[in-house]
Amino acid sequence: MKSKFVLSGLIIAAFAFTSCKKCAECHYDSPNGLVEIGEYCDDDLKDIEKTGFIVNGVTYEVHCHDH
Amino acid sequence: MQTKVAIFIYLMLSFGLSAQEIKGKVIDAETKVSVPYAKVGFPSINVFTTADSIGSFVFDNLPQSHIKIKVTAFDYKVLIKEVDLSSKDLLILTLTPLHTVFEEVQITASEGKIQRENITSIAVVSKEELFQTGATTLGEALIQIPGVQSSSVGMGISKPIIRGLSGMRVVTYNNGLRIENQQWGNDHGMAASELGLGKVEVVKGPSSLLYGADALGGVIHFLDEPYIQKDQSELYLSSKFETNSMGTTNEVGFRTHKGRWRANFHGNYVNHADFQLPNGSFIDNSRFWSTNFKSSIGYRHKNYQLNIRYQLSYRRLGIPGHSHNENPETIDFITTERERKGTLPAQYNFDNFILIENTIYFNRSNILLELGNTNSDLREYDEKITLPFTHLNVNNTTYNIRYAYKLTEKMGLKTGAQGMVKINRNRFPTSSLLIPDANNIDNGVYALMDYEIGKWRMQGGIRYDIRFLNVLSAADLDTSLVGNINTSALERTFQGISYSAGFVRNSKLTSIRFNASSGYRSPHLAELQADGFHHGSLRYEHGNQNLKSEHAVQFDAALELHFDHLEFIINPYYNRISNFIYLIQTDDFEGSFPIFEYSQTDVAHLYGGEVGFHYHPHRIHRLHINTNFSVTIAETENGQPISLMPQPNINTSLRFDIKNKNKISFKNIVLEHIYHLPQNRIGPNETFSVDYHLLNLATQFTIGDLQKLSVSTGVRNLLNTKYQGHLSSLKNLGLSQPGINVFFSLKYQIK
Repeated sequence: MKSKFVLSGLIIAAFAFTSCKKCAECHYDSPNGLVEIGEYCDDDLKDIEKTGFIVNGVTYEVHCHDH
Repeated sequence: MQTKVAIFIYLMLSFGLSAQEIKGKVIDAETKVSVPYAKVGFPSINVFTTADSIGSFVFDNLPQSHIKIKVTAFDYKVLIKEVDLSSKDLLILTLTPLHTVFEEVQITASEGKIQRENITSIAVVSKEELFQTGATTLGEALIQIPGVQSSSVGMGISKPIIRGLSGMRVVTYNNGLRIENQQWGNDHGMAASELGLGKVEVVKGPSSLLYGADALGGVIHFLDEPYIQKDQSELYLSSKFETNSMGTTNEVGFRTHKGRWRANFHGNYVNHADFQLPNGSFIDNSRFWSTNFKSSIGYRHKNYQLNIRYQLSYRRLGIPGHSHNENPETIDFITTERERKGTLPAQYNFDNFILIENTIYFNRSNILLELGNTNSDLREYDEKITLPFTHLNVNNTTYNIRYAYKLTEKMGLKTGAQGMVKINRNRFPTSSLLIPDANNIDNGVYALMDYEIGKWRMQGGIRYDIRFLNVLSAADLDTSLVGNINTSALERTFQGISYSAGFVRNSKLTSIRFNASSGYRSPHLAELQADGFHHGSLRYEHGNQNLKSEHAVQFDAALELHFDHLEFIINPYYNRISNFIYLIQTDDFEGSFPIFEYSQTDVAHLYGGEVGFHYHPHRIHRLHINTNFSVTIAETENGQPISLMPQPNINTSLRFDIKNKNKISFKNIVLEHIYHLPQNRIGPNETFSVDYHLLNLATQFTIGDLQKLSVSTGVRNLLNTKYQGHLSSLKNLGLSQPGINVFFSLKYQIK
C-alpha cells in the first residue's frame, strides 16, 4: 500500500515538475525585409522575444512562430 | 445595529411561518371535466409540478404572495394568470380547449408578462428553438430572432447586433448579472454559451430604465434552464459532431431537487479545427476550443428564495486573417490542409461569473437583492509566443435592489437601485496596452408604474444614472508599451436621465403597442484613448478624447393580429441617437490594414422594423410556416449612411411536427431559408455586400420506448453557398464563410 502511495507521488511529481520544451522559429523585420534568425527554445525564446535582436547596435523587435 | 438585525430576522421568520400548502385542480372550461397530467408551475420562483390523473396538484412551502401561475396541457390554450396564494381556497384552474397551438408561451423576465402583454419590444426564444437547425455557436443561433444579427471573426468569435447596434451599445445579462468582457473590441466575442441555457430574452431598443447605462441598442438576457421538479433528478450526456470544422461538443448535465434545495450542474468541452470553405479549402487558424462549467444552487422555503449561480469559461480562439506577407492577398489566409493545433495569433479568454440572488415575498410585494461579480481575463497573442500582445482584465462588481409592490389590483410599482464598480487593468508582462487602466463607478435609481384597465395596460418610468470615470495615467510606462493609447490621465463624470412610457391594448384578435424609451451611453475607454493597431479586428483605430455621451430616444410601435391559423406582426421603430459615436474608415492604411477613426455626428437616425407571420394551415395542422423580415437603415443628419450596418434579412422556416409513437419517434423536420439582401447603404470607404441565400435542414427524433436517447441531425448551408457576411471581419480580406456542414448530435438521459 505504501509503495502505491510513493509511486503515485512520483508520477504526480513527474507531471508537475516537467514541462514540454517550447521552441519556435524567429525573425525580425529589417529595412531590407524579413530576416530569419533560427530556432529558440524555452528561456532563450522568452529572452529574445522580450529584449529583441541587436544588429550593429540597432535593436529589432523579434517575432516567433510555432508553425 | 443588533436591533436592526433582530427586526430583520423577526420579519423573515414571521413571513416564513405564514406560508402554507396549496391544493388545486385543473379542469376543462367547457366540459368542467378534470384535465389529467397538466403541467402547473410558478415561473418566477422556478417551482413546477405535474397534476395527477384526475387533474389534482399540491404545492407546499409557497410564499403567501400574488404570483403568476402557468398551466400547460396538450390540446389546451396555455393559461397564465396571477393568483393570490394567501387564499386558503382550492385553486381551480380552467383550461380552454384549443385545436391549434402556435408555440409555447413564454413569460418575460424583465416585465413578468407574456410576450403580447409587454409594452417594450421583447423577443423570447427557447434554446430548443434557437438550435433546432444545429447552429454551431450561440452567436450564429441568435440571428433567428427578428431584429437580431451578429458580426463575426471566423466561427469562434461572434457578437450580437440588435437593430443595427452592437458592442458597447448592447448590454448582456446572465440571469440578472450584467456581463462586462471587453465587448468594445470587434473581435471580443460574447461571453456566453449555450451550456445550461434555458432561453434568451432580447429587449430591442434603448433599455436604460431597467438595465442601466449603455443599453442603447438593447439587452440580451440569457436565462438558465429551470430547476427540475421536486423530488426528481436528471443526469444526461450529450455529444455533437460537425463535419465542416470536424468540430465536437461533449456535454454532461445534472439537475436535482430535494426538499428545499435544488441544483443544476453543467459542463462541456468544445473543439473545432479550421473551417472549410465552399471550394474545399480551409481558413487558416479559424480553429478554436472552449471549456465551460455552469452551476446554480437554489434554496426556497416559504417566503424566501436564494439562488447562487457560478459560471466558468475558458476559451482559446484562433484569429484568422494573419499573414507574414507585406502585401497579403486572399490566398495567403487559406490553406489546403485542415489543422487543429493551436497557433498564433490567438485569444485566451478566462471568465468567472458569480451571482447571489435573494428574494423575499410579502403578500402584495417582493424585494430582490442581487450581488454579483464578473471577472474577465483576456490575453491576446499576436507574433510572440511567450509574451502576449495585450493582456486585459476587467473586474465588475454589481448590486441590484428592486422592490415590486402591488398598489391595487390594477396598479403596480417597481422601484430600485442598481450600480457597479468596474476596474479595468492591464496585466504584465505584455507587449502593448490597447486601453489604459481605469475605474468606473455607476449608480442609478429608478421607479416604474404599471396600470391595467380593461384591455389596456400602461406603463411609465424614470431613471437617473451617474457614472464616474477615472482613467489612470500611463505616462510612467515604457514608451514601447503605450504606442497604441493616449497616456494622459482623465477624470470625467457622466449623467443621464432615462424614461420609458407606453401602452398595449390586447383583444382576442389584435394587440396594439406603442412605447417611447430613452437611454444614454458614455464613451468607452477605447473610443476615448485608442490610438493604434489591433490585430483581432484587423484594423487600426484612432480614439477621440473629446467625445460626448450618446443619448437615444426610440419610438416603437407594433400591431399584432391573432387569428386561429395565422398570426401577423408588424413592428416599426425609429431610434434617434444624439452625439452618435461611430467608426469611419479613412483613406489611409497602416501596412495592409485600413485606418478607422472614432467620429461623432450630432444626430444619427436609425429606423426600420420587423414584419413577420406565422401560418398554421387548418388542413395540415402539423405544419408551421414562420417568416420574418428585419431591416435597419442608419444615417447621419446629412443623410450619410453609417458604416457597419447589417444586411436586411428574411428568415423563413417550415416545420413539420411528426410526433409518431413508434420505437423511433420523430419529433419534427425543419427546413430553414435565410435570405440576406444586398447592403448598398454604406459608409465612406466601406464596400458593398451582395445578397445570398442559406438553406438549413434538420430533424429530431428519439429512440426507444422510454425516449432516453434523442438524436438531432441535419445539414447547414445545404447548397454550399459561398458568401461573405457584411459584418464579417474576414470580408475585408476577401474571405467567405463556412460551406456545407453536416451535424449529428446525441443526447442520452442516464437518469
